[in-house]
Amino acid sequence: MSDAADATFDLAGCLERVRQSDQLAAKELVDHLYPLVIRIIRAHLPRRVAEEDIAQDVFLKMFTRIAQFQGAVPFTHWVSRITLTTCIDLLRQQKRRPEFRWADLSEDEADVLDTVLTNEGERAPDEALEARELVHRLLGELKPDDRMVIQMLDLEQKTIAEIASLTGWNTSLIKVRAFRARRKLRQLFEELEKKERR
Amino acid sequence: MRTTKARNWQELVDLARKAPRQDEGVVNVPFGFATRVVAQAFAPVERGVASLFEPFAFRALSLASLLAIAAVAANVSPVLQALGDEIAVVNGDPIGELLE
Repeated sequence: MSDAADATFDLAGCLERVRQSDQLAAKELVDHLYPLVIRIIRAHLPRRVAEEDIAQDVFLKMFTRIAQFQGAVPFTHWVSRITLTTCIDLLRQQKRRPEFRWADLSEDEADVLDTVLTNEGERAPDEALEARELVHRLLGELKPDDRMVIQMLDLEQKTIAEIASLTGWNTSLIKVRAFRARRKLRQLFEELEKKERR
Repeated sequence: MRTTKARNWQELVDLARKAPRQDEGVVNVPFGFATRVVAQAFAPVERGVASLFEPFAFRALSLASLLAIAAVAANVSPVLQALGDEIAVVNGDPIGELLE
């Protein structure tokens, strides 16, 4: 949906009609919110997941709970929260990945990691894609909640207040999760450095 | 002061942020997606006869628990009495009684 269409969409009116079981309004709401939901799913889950099925799950939850929406937060925030919670639940269900190993990295990814670990050489802009893959591999080693926090803080550069608003977690909990995630990442880098030296 | 490992992570993240985001651009809703979701969300839920009693299930459980406690309270003294008699019989010496 384009920005112009976004601006003209009457969300409050549409919600009111959905509450009166207007299916046409419900379809309009799904069409309106789909880009928001799919972006969150793509940002937080690995590429291989069936994003359409997850989006469907999110919308079904949204319709089931729509009577509970009191308007304390904007509706889009409320839907984002449902989407994030669904993503966290899916990450929790996934089996733990095997140990992070150099051998699993592509040649380009290994080069990027080597450059970062040794602090040598210039970072080429075309290394960004490999760096992103590496970041996601490293994030995959964290607990889902910790991963979500560090991804939003460091990659998406959201503030703690924004994360609190999106997830419903309090700021102390977010700080604890960020601290735990950073400590785990430090350990991962140390282990990788040791393995590289062998 | 930041440790080397924290700097490593920050450098990697800074570089990763420069990558074109996969969630950018126009996102099109798949054909029929909204229809499918809405049909599922608004589908009437088939409820069996047993589901009519669901609202009373919790109350029924509470009532059953209360009745169980009341039954134990009402029968505790006869049970204790019967147990006491049994213990007295077991502790008795029937051979000694015969010889007397």
